[in-house]
Amino acid sequence: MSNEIHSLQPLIAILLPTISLVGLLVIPRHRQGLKRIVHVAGSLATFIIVLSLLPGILDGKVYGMELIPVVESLSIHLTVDALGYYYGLALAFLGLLATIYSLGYIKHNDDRYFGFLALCNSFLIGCAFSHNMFTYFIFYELMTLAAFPLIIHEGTDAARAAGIKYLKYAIPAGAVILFAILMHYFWGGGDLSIVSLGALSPDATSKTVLTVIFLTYFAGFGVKAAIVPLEGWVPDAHPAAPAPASALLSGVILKAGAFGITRVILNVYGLDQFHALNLWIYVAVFASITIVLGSVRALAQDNLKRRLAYSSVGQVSYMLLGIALASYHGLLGGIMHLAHHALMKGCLFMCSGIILRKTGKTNISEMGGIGSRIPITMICFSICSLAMMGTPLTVGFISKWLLGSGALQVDRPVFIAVLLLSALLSAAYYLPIIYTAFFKKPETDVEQADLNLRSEVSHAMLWPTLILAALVILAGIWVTLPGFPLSLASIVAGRVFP
Amino acid sequence: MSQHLAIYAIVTPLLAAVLVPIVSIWRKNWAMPMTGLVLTVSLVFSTLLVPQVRASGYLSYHLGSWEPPFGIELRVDFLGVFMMVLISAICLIVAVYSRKYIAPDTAKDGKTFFFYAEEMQEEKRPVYYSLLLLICAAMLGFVATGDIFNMFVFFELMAICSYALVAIPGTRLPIRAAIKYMLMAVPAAMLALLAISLLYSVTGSLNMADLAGLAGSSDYSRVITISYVLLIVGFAVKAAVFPLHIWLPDAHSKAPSPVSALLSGLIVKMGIVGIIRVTYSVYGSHFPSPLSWVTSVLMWAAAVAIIYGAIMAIRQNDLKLMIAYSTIMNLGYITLGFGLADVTALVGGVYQIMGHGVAKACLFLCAGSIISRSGYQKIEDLKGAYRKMPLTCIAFALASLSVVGIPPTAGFIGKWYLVTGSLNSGYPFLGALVLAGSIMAAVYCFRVVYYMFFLPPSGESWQNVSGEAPPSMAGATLVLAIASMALGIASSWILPPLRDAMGVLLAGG
Repeated sequence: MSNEIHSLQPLIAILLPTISLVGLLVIPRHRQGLKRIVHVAGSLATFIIVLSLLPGILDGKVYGMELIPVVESLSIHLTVDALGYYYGLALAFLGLLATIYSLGYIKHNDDRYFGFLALCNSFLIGCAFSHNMFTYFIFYELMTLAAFPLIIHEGTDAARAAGIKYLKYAIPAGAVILFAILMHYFWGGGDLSIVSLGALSPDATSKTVLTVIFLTYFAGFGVKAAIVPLEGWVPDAHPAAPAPASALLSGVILKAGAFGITRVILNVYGLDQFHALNLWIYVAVFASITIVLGSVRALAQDNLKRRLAYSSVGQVSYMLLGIALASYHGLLGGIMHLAHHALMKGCLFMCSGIILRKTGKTNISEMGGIGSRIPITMICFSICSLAMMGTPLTVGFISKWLLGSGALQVDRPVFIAVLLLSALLSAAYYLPIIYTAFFKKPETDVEQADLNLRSEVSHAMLWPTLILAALVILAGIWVTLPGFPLSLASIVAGRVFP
Repeated sequence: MSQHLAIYAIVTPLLAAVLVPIVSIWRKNWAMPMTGLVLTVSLVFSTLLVPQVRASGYLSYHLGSWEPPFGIELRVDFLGVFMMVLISAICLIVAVYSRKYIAPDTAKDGKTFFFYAEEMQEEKRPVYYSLLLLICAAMLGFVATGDIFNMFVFFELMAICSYALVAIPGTRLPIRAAIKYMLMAVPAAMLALLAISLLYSVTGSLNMADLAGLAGSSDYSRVITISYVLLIVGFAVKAAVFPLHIWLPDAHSKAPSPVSALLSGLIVKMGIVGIIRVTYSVYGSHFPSPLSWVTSVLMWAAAVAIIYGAIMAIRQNDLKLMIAYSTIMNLGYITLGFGLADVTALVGGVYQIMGHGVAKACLFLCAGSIISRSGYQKIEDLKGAYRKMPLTCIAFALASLSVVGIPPTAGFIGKWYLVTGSLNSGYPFLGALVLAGSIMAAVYCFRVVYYMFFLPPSGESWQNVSGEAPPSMAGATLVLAIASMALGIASSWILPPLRDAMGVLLAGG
């Protein structure tokens, strides 16, 4: 990109989490405390360096640097534009909170866990700051593999089975994406840029080929973005993984797929061409099916994390639906929902982890009365649940409002029906959890006695949860604060709809 | 000095191969240091050749100052020098690895190595190093020579050394594997010899550059065709092109592990280099027709090999057999790069020669470390191996990434070019097949990695294993593993000259 400001910061942001790895190798085994400080320092430093780019990005600047050419004309090239920065900021923030939370949550084998957590953060930031599909794919594949040890961390048979299932979905998906990239490379004349409008246009090749390339991308990224019918790994992987890892999975890793699709739509094809080729129909239809089906299946789950996982399946498709609508508000809402959902779902998974640690319960039906035992946690949980339903004064309301208004802008009210149905269904599966926690009595007297031991968990686990819940409200009220989703999403949408 | 570099690189190990057993009569411990030193010299000479070749396109050296076509010519182009560096580097690493592998000493806790402690008697060790040097010299000569008969001689020398190396433990299974190998390879060599004599009978020349002109204008076009097909079949046996691969799994899995690494990493590739060499340097003027049907046959054979090799590798329960079948699959990739007859695909194929050579050598050496330390040869016994042998397991995992083709490894670059090449030549289906192959590679590679890292040892296994392999062995595997990553990242230094060289080759240079 010509107006790219040469900057080392993106590279530093990618390398910083690996401080954690150096810490693992250098610090002796018995100095656990020091190791933990290093883990937090690594992710905190990453967050700060990403945050330091904010003023420039808000001014509409683009930062970047070309690292090394790899395949002749292609190079590993980092660029921070508004969309990439927005995703990068969300994941650096969630990564920091998840790392802090993990200090309290992870009880065994923490070297492996924190090592791969750091790698995952690092590769995800690489994804967010990629200049071209080639760079994106490199980080994406590495991130896919680095997430595996997090999923199977608990070491139970169920966790291992979930991990294997994850790989069974993710590795073929990687090959499919690679094939799409190679077709893109071949028919796009070697231009794989995903920050400026690429060379893939009807001048270069036939419409059929363009459609095939798009659908290959969509199928490949659709596995990570949990598009029905490719979502099979999601409901297994989330309950199996430790809570902070689930928070990351739902909050940002699923979004890596959706982010890839977004990049393809906005920057490879461009919204106009995306519409002209009628590609939006595929995305909108699959996203709608996913939204409804995800919510319906969430209803039937008794395992809390499984229910949350199915909810994520539906929620990630909100993003895609908004972008597919190709209206200003739809785009804005879709993009904002990326961060909004990361805040809400991150908090919900962290709450589920606290519930597990404090009460040992994973099933909703057994959670009677826990509201009086861990009140702060359950209040956070309730706030985020309400936000997921789209209650006003929360972030969930903002994105749903924008999505609905986006559907009206292009005169397709059928998608409002989808949104409303989904909101109704989320009320149907979130409200019972709140009801059970606060108003139902525990099943046994022993547990009744336990209720008097009102105690919250360690600060490391409680504070990240509280911060997220606070942000869910804060970002829902003070929407226009610079650095909050709207400020960045409007830059992105402003570029598309000048 | 500088104009003699090529011949010195070949002759030094050749002479040392004779000297090592003689010196060993008096100084038993000198065999390994001598081998290492000589191979380092070869590596340095080959590396020094690179700038010369890049400057002038190719390097022609006339042995004994006899002008070609009468004298023997060494004709080192970029493909040649690329292979020379690869050959001498891998041979050196294998030699370093072999020191402890064939002459294990007692570990600190008094436990010895499980395997090969008895088989590799002391008097065989100098012979082993001598064969190693000889096979290195033969491969270097094979890729550097510009004379087709000379090429055949080096080819036979290489073949004979490899039978001997496979059989060197002297026990039943390796000997049987070596005989099976011979039964396939000796007739193949005869075919090649017959082809060369046919060619000589109609052209009267043995110099490849000279032949290219003569064969193009020859009246005996049928003889030319027959000689070409015979040569290709001869080389294809060595390259284990499907369905001529049946000797490979046994020979590669029953040989001592460093020898397996040499066989899989380098020697099978010589067959492909031979095919590329004769096709474009000798019969180049006959392309695209009337001989291009041969490349199509090879292309489809390669496609079958990819699927067949992958399925067989997934079905194996023996670690080395699995790695051997994976070699068949990867030879399919390399042959595909040749068979597509497209510059980009050929670049992919040649890059894959290097990427796969390094990664596969690493896998076999890791397997060797594990087997010699623990005695476990089955994949299911590898559960929990990471706890005892972390470095070896990490090396295995990194090399696996390259075999699967995860970016940014050398294997990824090779596959990138192969798929682009198949799109270029109008076979998107084959491109998809290459990627389907990498999914299957993920199945068999990551299964092992998963067992090593993420499963606890079953029952009593690994209890008696004393720990990591000695530094020279673990170091050798790690160097190869890191190289397979680095070659992916550093590809931009190698690819442009390689592409130029392949362009010249395809244009009939």
